[in-house]
Amino acid sequence: MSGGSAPDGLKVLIVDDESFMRRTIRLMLRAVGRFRAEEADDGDAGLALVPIFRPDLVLCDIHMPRVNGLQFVEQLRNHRQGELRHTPVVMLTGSAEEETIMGAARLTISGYLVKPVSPKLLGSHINAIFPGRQAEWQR
Amino acid sequence: LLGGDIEVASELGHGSVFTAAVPLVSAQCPVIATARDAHACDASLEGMRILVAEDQVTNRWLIRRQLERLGGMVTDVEDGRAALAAFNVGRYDLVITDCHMPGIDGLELVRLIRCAEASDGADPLPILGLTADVTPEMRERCLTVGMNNIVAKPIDLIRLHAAIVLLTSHASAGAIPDEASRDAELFDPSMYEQLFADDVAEGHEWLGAYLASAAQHGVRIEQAAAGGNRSELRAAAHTLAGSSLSVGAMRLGTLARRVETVAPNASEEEVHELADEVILAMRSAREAIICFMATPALVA
Repeated sequence: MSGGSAPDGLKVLIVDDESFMRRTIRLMLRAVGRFRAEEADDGDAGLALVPIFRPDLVLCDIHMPRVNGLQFVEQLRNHRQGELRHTPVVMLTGSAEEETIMGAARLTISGYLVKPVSPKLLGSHINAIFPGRQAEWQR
Repeated sequence: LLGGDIEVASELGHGSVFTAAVPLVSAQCPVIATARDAHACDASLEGMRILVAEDQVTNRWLIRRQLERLGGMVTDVEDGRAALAAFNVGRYDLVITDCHMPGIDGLELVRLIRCAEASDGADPLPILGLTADVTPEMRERCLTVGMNNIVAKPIDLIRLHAAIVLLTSHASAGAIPDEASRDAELFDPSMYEQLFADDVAEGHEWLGAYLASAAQHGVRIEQAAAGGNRSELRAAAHTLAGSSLSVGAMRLGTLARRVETVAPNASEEEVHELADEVILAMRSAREAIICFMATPALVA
């Protein structure tokens, strides 16, 4: 697991090129528990933020300009700071095409959620990724 | 698009300001109507003969004014008795009646109209009821006496216009889809309810942000379809689909998803048709969301 979580909840990095979606995901996180969220508008910006923010979890879109979600995960898994390579990533995307899903499956990811995603579903995925750590983020 | 404007102000070395303005309605207005709203609905009521029964002077005047602006030919009366008299001597394509009026109220008026039609063997007129009481019991009473649908008060021009278009387009078939399921297809508020349990202002701000964002992607889709730029069309449709499905604009989101899927290989004609459908669906979603913001309890 990557860098230490803050006392006020798990740290989540939201990577999505659509600002409305970033805002909506942030609101969903607020609805299910206590999280500290940071946002990046593409994979490149996400990779720049990871060593600074040191998220517990990344929620990542796939289709984005410049560095897309799959490239983001690939580069994160080869990060020069070894402790960041294992940061859990959940793909949160509108892409349900087989080709994209297979591309994601070849990477090490912790989940693949197709939009629209309910806060409840997001919460249950987070619960599954962090077993025994409910006290850190559940209200 | 969406009756709004997008402006860009740019100063060299200082950056750019993008402003998206979408006209939204206020829940406080007794009747909500603007010139922009009138343009938002394209379906004309040209030549439609409409009998309006409403005891409140201001509402009556505003409904008449707006229906006439949409091309309707309106006869307005102040109560059920006058409406019945007008019905007996005139020819109408539609009756709109307030439910609560002194003397013969809307329910009794409709019952009498349906009796007269039955005894004359005449085709039933489409009838819309107007009421602030939108409980299932009241709706049931209205439909039982013979109304085809009800529109909630305070009256929103867009909602009224949409109800008229829907009702008159289904009049020959004699059946209209259930209002609740249709509204849910245009805008399903379940995500809103999960995100904003108490904070209406924040929820409305979120919906407003969605409308502004959707408008921008709508422009992208129109331009990409017109210019034959398939990759841009696909990207814009992808983004619009994701945000629309997440906010609960299910029909718009599904259509945008279809555009995204077919964009690479569809014919020019198909692309234009689909882009037009997306824009129309966006308009309907906007109307449904605005109605929800004006009267959230009706859609929820």
